[in-house]
Amino acid sequence: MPTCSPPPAAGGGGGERGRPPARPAEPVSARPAAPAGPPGAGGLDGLDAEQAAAVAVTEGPLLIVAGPGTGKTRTLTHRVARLVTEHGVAPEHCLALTFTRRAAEEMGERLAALLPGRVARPTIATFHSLGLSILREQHERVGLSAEFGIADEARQAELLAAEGADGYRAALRRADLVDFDDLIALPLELLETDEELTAAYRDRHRWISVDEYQDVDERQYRLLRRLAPPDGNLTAIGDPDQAIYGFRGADVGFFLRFREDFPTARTVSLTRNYRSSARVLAAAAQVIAPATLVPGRELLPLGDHGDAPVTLHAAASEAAEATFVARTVEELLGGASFHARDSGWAETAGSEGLGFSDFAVLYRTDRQAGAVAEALARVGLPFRKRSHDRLADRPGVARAVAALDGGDLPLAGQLAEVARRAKDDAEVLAAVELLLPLAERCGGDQARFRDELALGVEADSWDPRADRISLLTLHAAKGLEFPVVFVVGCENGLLPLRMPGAEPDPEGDAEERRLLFVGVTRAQRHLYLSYAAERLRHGRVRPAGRSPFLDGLTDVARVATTVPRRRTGGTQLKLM
Amino acid sequence: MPRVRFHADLHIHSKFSRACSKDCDLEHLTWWARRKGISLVGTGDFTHPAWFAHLRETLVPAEPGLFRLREELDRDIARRLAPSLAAAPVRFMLSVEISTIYKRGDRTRKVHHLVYMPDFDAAAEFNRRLARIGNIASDGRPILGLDSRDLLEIALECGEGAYLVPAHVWTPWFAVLGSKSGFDAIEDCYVDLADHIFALETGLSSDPAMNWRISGLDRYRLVSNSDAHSPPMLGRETTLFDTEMDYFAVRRALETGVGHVGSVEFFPEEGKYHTDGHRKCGVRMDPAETRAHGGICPVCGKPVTVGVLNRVEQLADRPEPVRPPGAPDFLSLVPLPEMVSEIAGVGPKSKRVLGEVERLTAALGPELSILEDVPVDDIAAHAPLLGEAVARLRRGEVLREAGFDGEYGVIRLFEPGELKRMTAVAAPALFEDEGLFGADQSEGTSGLSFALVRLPTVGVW
Repeated sequence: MPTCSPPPAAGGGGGERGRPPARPAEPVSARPAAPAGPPGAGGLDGLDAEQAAAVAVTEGPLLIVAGPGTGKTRTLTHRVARLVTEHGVAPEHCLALTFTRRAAEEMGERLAALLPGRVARPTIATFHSLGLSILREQHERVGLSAEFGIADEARQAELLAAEGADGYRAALRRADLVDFDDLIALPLELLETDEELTAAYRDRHRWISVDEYQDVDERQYRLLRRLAPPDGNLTAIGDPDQAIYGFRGADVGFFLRFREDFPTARTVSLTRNYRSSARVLAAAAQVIAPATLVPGRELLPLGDHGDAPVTLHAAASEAAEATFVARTVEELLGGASFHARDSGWAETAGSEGLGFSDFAVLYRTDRQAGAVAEALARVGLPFRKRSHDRLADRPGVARAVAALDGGDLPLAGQLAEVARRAKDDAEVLAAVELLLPLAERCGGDQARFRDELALGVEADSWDPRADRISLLTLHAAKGLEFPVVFVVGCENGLLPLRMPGAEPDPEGDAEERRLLFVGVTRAQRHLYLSYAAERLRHGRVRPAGRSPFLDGLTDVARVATTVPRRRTGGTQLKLM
Repeated sequence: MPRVRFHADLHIHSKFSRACSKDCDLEHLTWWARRKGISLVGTGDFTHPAWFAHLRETLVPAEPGLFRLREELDRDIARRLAPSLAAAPVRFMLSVEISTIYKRGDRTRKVHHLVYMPDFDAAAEFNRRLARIGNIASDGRPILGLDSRDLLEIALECGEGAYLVPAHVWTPWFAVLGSKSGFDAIEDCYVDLADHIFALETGLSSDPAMNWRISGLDRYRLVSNSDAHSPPMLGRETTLFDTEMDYFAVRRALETGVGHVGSVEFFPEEGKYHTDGHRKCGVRMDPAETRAHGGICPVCGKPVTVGVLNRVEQLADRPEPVRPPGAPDFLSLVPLPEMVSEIAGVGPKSKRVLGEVERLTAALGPELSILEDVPVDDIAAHAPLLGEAVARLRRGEVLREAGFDGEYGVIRLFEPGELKRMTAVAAPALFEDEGLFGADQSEGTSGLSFALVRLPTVGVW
């Protein structure tokens, strides 16, 4: 079944190379939140009281309200593992649903570690990969062949142009294709119209867990309702205050009415935060307070993350703000160059023990990355802008895939043949190199290879050994954590994001506030919130005001723009 | 191929590195190499795309693994040098300095490395791999978030004969043995690949004798280079070889010690990280004083920057230097322009010093020869005070004021006031050149030199 089984335990990153133990095994700046639990705890028993309470519920619907850094994934995976190891539930009856491939892979790795030596594994899927697997099994019911394909964006655009909106879907089917929407819509239609089929899938997926439940949209919700009866073993976990996908159809309302949909549901709250310092958590609580969807919102600091103050920085411009970021990174590293040290603007000892992958710069809009990237490049600091860098979208990939001969030979071998024929077509050669890791994972399974490409497997052209500063949008930062976090552009109109002259939108603003809450709660030790006095937006430089979301902050330090100090001459004095 | 004795300077930077002179191009480097008396120069910065393109365009293959400037460019440069300097061949080898910054054992590590490649294909492969790790286009000395051991592995994989030398191994902030972000042993840094390291760059702030206090370093060849950020700084430290002029012969000499015949060194006190202190607070302390203060600056109360001398003492397992069997001697020199500057009482980069050195090298040969082996009488015939200065230098009679916390130290050949007395006596005979220096009199910077520029000193040379 494509993409639905967890990857092998040792997958992900390139840390496994038989090297000295002191070296961090973390792959490139992809830094999923570490397992959160009481210090020194491990294995099935390393759970705190709240986590244990959630794990103890083995039957019926369960809602887990999990604040940031409280061990959400840990709780979910331990719960599934315990169902299998202690309650005799067959792994193949367990289904865990996530929103991203990355989250699915991480959960797979953790479950594999908790269930060593088992051949059968719980199914871990994204909504789309689950939909795809149902379609692969039921393809005849919707008029598709067993080898149906997934139309990429170019193909979709082509068909839309040729057939118009009305003829588009029919044309897709004639071409034996589905699009991304179909991956949810078609299985939903099947299940909603066929009780017998529904019963079969319910029988297979007797224990279902859904991660990030605050982010489900209406069709995903309906699909879940078909898969889980009202008294079913459905566990939903999430945090309404981290609901940030309303703009693309997610509805936090489904989370808030879970107990109406599943009347026998029990609720457990996770409030013990292992990720962030007390001062970061205090700031997080103050940011979310005016709009929280969690009555009695509470985050208890249990980790040891130092006592650095949350820092506010007012910059003159976007460029000055970016320079502040670069300078602060250098300062925390104790200077990254002789220049920084000898010119006197990096003077700390760099005793924090940080590497580049410990830093993240978060922003509301992708466009803001430019100034930050420029400032970091100017001082030579390595960074990686993380975005949806789909392998399928890379130049040459489509042509390389089209050139595969389609036989049963291992894909890696077929790709080598493509490269040979490509001669000096640099684009195709580069594409082949990018495709090889996926090809090796898929062996000779053409369908899986094409499905994974279509489902958006990300290009990984970076050497996994490299540490880099992460640049990412607040949305993309969800689920990650970093010792040092910068949130840039905390400005009215940018965070909350609003078109100039637009009417106030309380609901939209509330989601924007939750977005800042997500950003703030990514920080473990150091948090810097900055804003510029003016910024280029919509074609011209406009004055920008400080975001009202910062108004409630009480315990903060303010730092001025760091100006490089001139070297003072004649300091050869000997004091003693 | 015949063996030759030659100076090599294998750590320099191009104009594409931060804080480097825009004159750092191959033409200027070739001109200055001849002026200094250096036969083999590292290209520096070959990972930088623009510099790499310049190298490919400007260099042509010479002996195995080495390159020289294209014929017509080389002729142009020779034309602009005195006949005593113009004929000497200058060769280049592909070199780059890489800065790795990463975490190991919960500490931030910052280590600089010199990487050498035998040909353009190997260098291109190295560049391709590093481009997947960090930004190599923004600085000629790229900063990578990569474990040093992995950098070494990548370098070794790129071409037969590629090698890595840890750079200025003692500097506190950016070196393999540095006090702030290094390791206590070379092996701790490069772990399972440490056997591929066979040479260490001593840096300006340490000399071989200091390194001979640590038995763990006996197995490494100690090399010296200028780390020049502008062409006139070339050759302020060099490594001496007596081998064929050949990349692989140089590498072999460093690997085996045979053919590695010494180095030209700064007096280590001149280096900017020699002793301890805080530049900002104006505090300089020797290691004993630092220990007495518990490592804390008496002005600001923060830990002082611990210099190379102190760090060497921390790691030393011998009370006095013991030269390992077969290790060559070394020469401690002060760059010629600095000596001329002291005597003239104007800055070492001033037009007058430049002119004087030009006159001297035209008459006596390259700067390094003047310092090393031109008879003192011959020097004195052209510049009596310089003759005295070189005689003192060769006897090691120098006055040392140690550098600390990023501030260069000062090495003088004459006591305060001594030059004034000498020039006052010598002056009456020397007025014929007076017109030459009138315009330069405002260039004196220190109190000492200000007093001196009032005297007509130029003709004293």
